Amino acid sequence: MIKKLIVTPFLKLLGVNAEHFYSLYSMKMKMDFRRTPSGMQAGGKKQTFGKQILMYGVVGLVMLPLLFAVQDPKVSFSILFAMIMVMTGSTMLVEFTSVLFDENENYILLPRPISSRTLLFTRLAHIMTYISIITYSLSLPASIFILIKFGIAFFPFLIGVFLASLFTLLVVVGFYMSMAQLVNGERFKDIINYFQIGLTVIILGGYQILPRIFDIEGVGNMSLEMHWWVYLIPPVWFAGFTDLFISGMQLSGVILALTAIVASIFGAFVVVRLLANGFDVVLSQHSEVNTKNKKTKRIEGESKGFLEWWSKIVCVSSMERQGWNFANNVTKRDRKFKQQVYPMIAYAIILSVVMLMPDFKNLNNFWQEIAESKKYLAFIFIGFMCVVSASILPYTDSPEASWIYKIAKPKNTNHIHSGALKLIIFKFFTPIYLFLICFTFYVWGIQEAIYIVAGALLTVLWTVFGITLQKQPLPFSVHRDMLKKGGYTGRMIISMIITGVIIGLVFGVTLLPYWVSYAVIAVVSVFISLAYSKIRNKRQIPNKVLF
Amino acid sequence: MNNSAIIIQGLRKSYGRGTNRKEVLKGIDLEVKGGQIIGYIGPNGAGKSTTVKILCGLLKDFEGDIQVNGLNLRDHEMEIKSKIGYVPETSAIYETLTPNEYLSLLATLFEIPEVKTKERIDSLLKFFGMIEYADQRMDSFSKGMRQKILIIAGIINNPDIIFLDEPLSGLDANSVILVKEMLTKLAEQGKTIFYSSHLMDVVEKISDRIVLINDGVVIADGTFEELKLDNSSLEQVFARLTGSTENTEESKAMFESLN
Repeated sequence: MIKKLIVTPFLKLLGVNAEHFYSLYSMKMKMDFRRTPSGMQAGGKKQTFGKQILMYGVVGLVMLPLLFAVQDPKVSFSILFAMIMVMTGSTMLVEFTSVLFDENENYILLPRPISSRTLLFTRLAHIMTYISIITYSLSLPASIFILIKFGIAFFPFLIGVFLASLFTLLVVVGFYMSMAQLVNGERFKDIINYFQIGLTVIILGGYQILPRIFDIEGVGNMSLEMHWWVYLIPPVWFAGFTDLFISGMQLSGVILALTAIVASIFGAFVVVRLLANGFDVVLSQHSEVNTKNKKTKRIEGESKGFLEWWSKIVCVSSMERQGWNFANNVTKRDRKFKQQVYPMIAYAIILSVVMLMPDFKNLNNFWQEIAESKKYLAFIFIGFMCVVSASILPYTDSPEASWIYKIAKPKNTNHIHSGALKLIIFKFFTPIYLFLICFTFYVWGIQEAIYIVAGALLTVLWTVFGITLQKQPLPFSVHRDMLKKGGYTGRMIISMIITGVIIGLVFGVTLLPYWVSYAVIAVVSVFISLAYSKIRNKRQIPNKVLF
Repeated sequence: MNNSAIIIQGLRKSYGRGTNRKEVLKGIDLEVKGGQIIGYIGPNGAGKSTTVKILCGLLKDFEGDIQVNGLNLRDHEMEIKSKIGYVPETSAIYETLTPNEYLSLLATLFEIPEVKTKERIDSLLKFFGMIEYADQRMDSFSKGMRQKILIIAGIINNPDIIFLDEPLSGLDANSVILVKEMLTKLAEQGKTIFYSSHLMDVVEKISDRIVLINDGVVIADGTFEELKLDNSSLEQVFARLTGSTENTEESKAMFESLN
């Protein structure tokens, strides 16, 4: 009934073929629920989506203190919606870009008579389904709080969450589509990588700026000054929409609520109706880049230099060095791996600045103040990206190539695994951490830098030890589809929690005599070495199914 | 049917920019009559798959003019796509679906009436000996079984023109015979077959006309009888026209390195 009376006419208005959409969408959902590990991935564990939802719910608990503390609902809701939009935007960028441009599906659908609008709308609806599940899980604790405290405002809040996620999704897709009009297909994928990093920075930066627009006189008494430019800030629209049912009909609230609705619906109209015409061209450019890469791209004299030299120091066998080189080559060229890891590096850099909580108005005092504080401990937090980078090591788009492990001696494959793991940690974690250690040394002094070294080693230990615990499959042997939708963000959150625990441990060490930190470094180094040795000597699980 | 099914004029396609620019197609001119089986052959990297992808709407950024069934490809893409079939060289299927589900989805996209869909899918699956696997997930299928599904998907809409890019890859001898038989019958019904491959023996046997491209240009076009000299096979014609040699030096070096 709803389908016939509301959805189908709406689809027609957008220029989407309703029958095509219903068939494709239902098939996509069916396929997602059917994905199971097979063949080479038989040893891997399937992470259930239910667990992830639960995890997002737990993370959503961090939003509760905000709702309790801030009196003005417009303020607390604005921050809440900003958080939701940050999560939606970053999840879309990191996890769903490949779903939007799905190359394999392009081969299936582009030669068939399906319109660009229908294709784009179907992919958006598919992505929006997962984004909605994630954002509703995330905002579940807040929803319950709002239901209890404000009653009826619970329903507009739920609608607001949907509209905010939709709007964020449309902004990201709108950017992609606009960019596709400007950039040659050849460069498009590379630009997407940079764009992902850039937008992540903008989103997170905006997230930090938002609280600064409020007139802060103690957290509980924050108030929202309705300057003209406040109406231009999207989270405030959705907050205004929800607040309308709490504070009553005020002109500012009505304007914000209307903006929230119009921006989301009109955004959908603009993206699907106006920008979608170029979508199949964008997709064909993707296929083109694929074709071009396969046929003509040469790897010309890539210098291994320092990495190769360093591998001779840290790798214990020639097979481990092979694993190191193998991982280096793949991570350098695998666009999807880069799409997942690089934005996270951007996160890490921003977080390390944000955690210092700089006061830009009074920088001189700020440097003096932080030198007397223990804010350097926050740098350890960026270690979460080390854990996540290592955890995605087994995923690839072509696991078939891992047949090579089947004919190699188990001892050799183990060494390849440990070598690859060393490379990931060295390549994606060490440079940023080294910089932070130097920075800590400069601002705080040698002892504080030693604490950071201890934190880094604890993070590495957890990463390597965690991999032996999980019985991680061999590098690049599991299809990327097995990384469940939303799973990547989930891993990031778990890793953040773990690094939080490590910060707690190092904080504990700072309260003890100095020599304890040196002892910790020594002991942890031994354990890291043992953990690597455990990976090198692990028993291989025999694969029952070959492909 | 003798009217032109496909007219290609000055087709050019390049990848890359600046010094990395590589022109894959350097001005292809071709006219294909309805009901013909065209064997489109050439060495690796000659531009065969690129031509097919352009004709099927997978690649859009090209120079030149293409008409399919009298319609301009740029202006009437949807109409053309509903009248063509495409069997890609890659195994592009929704692996976690069953053949029934996958083919039904394609039937919906082609707007084939529901009453006809089941009957058509069943008869095609039976023809290829796949009916007993109709409700099994395709991720457990062998390469040959997937290839059969790709071929069925390429003809499910009863297309006027069928583009096949290495369609026999992974098929056993019996299946190859089936496909050859099917293509011949489709051509008898007036369908145009655009068959891109480097399997010379099959091309030689089924094609009415052979178009040989090398380095992005057509270097030979005619029937097999016209192209061959004396009693040479198509393979020999191919080697002669594309300048392939026996590479004795390279083969000697390779065997030495293996020892």
